[in-house]
Amino acid sequence: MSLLKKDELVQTINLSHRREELYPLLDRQVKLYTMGDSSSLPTETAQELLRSVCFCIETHLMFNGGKSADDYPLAQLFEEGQRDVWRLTEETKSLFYEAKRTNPGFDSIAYRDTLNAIGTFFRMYDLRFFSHDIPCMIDYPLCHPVPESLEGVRYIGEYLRRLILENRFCSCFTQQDAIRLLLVHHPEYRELVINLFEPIFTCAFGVVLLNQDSAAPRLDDTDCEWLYRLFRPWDETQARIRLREAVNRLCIRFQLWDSGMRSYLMDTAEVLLLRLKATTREGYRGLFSIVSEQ
Amino acid sequence: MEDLYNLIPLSDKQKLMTTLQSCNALSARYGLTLSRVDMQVLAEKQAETLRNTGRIEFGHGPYEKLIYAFCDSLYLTQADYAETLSKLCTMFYHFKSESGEQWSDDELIDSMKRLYNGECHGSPDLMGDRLWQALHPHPNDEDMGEEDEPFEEG
Repeated sequence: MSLLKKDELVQTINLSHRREELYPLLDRQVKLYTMGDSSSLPTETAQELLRSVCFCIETHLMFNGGKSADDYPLAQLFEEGQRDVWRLTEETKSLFYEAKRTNPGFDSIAYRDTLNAIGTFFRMYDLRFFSHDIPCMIDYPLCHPVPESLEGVRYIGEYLRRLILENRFCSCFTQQDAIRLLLVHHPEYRELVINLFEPIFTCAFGVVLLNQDSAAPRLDDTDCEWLYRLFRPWDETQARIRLREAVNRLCIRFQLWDSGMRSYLMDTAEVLLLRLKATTREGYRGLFSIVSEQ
Repeated sequence: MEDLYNLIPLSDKQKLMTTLQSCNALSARYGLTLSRVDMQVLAEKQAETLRNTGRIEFGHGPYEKLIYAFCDSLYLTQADYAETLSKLCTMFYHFKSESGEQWSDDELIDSMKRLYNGECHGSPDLMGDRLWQALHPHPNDEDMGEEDEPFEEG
């Protein structure tokens, strides 16, 4: 696949007409990268260096929304882009510390390994030559995955932003209650590569739908039956109204006022809506992590 | 991929021809010159080797350094000058990739020159074998030394 065609930047700055400007930038990066030891490089490495140049320019344009690439020399955009990527990396470090601080402590191996891997990201990240690269393994799945189109520190930043939102929501419940719920969801949740926010959100969502005390995310067989009846027969309009009300009540109950959190919860509820529609009565048990009464 | 190749200005091929032309001044002292046709063939060979080895050239290629390093060799004659340069260029790019970028341009050319003028007695093919052995030493070959510093002086 062609690198330049793959990158959306082609449309943004119309690289096809600016090859004469782009080549000197790449040439300079190659000289810096090889430190003059080699005048040639494997195509893959050269491509990665070019992608990094594009990533820096794109990042700068992203930070300066009104700026048109056509009005500025690429060299200037690249230089300013490198500074922006550096600034972004520093901001992302703060997000990393925030994510560690808000870690709800559910002892998930994937979660722990991912945080450790992001720690190494900052040591491995080469923003000078491979700023678009993500030199670490992200195992822990978010409820809403970060778009694959994001690269480098922008991907890690977005991942951490979402992770912090999930952390904050999970921290609304006592660790004991949350772990009890997760064990009902899957007794081996610690070893599995699964998202832990989603079952907690779903159960809390079910609790507020039933107007119960949402501080304790716990539903039993009777609750499950009520929830099923609440959505049967299926009425799309009614279901959406209930969904919005439930998210609002959750936000009020836990004082989650920021728009980022609200929109993340709403997105999660939207996905849940589809499953509520498609799932059978028995399926509701698994969906809401129902605690058996026996 | 194609776009990346398109980034390299076409005028660089012309520059390579000019570089080869200027090298004639030095090599002529040793009775070695390249004709216009030779230069074109060598330029095409370099482009072909780059494609085959999956590399991109950002300078003028190795010819200038190769000519400076090899022109005083006793084994080089006008009859096989262009052909040998062509082989050396192929080997240069091949071993740049094969060594995983461990050898700098100068290190590799220096090793090639020592092998060519030394134990390989002017045989590019044998030189290629020795370079290959240096990169992939047999466990019992104690003489081969370290991978990134394969050739001892002398």
